[in-house]
Amino acid sequence: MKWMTKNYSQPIAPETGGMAVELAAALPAKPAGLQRATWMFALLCLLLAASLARMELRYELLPLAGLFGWIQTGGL
Amino acid sequence: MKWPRKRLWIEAVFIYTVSGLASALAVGWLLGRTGTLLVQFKSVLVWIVPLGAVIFAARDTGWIFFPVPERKVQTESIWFHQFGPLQAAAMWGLHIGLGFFTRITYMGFWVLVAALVITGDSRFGALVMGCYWLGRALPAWVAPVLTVHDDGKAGLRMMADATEQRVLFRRLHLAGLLCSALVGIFLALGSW
Repeated sequence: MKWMTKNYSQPIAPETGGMAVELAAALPAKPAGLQRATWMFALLCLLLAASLARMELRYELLPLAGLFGWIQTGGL
Repeated sequence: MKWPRKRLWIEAVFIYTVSGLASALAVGWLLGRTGTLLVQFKSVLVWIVPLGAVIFAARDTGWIFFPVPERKVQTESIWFHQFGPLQAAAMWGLHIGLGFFTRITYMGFWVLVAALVITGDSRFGALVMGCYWLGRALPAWVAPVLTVHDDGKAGLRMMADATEQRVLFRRLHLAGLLCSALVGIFLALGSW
């Protein structure tokens, strides 16, 4: 089969965002900022949680779910 | 980067996000639906979320230890070589989006699952799992701006960066669990 002849020694780990990285290997270089992005996202989730709690308390789970999702991928 | 390659990347990540969202919405809907079968136990079950969140937080701090219930497998990386980037992206999304069938490193996922079963609201379940998935897929979208890559080793650097930040993720996860516990207590007192 065609795929068996290919070299797949390059790291691919979709659950760490590896798929995006694999495909984006040639995008313009920028400084690493996972920590900054994580803090910004956490802050955004906190603000969203505070806003949504005014509507209905259980809606607080929505931004918390987003945060758990980000952590699951980024912190794998 | 040449445009066709950039376009391919955008297409692949878009497909990954959408297919994963479909899986996540379906799982959330089913979890909410399952909750309708347990409605007679609701008065007791409502305390599972705050209690579970506190126990998981204790685990995160290292006070207690128990293994995370999970399948210790990642999705199939070989799909990339077998089916090409776009089809693989769709299959990865569908697979990872299901949530239960790949590694679950953090217990926050199980708190959400418990909450969705208890609410017994399939629409809300789909909404929560959809948000969870969008949180999971977002790092893929921002990966290029978080990564320094001038030598084709972007994947390795991203992973190394993620490993260095593990303490931060653990702390944020702990904060998320404590927030969930508080929300769970208030919701339990109001019986959801």
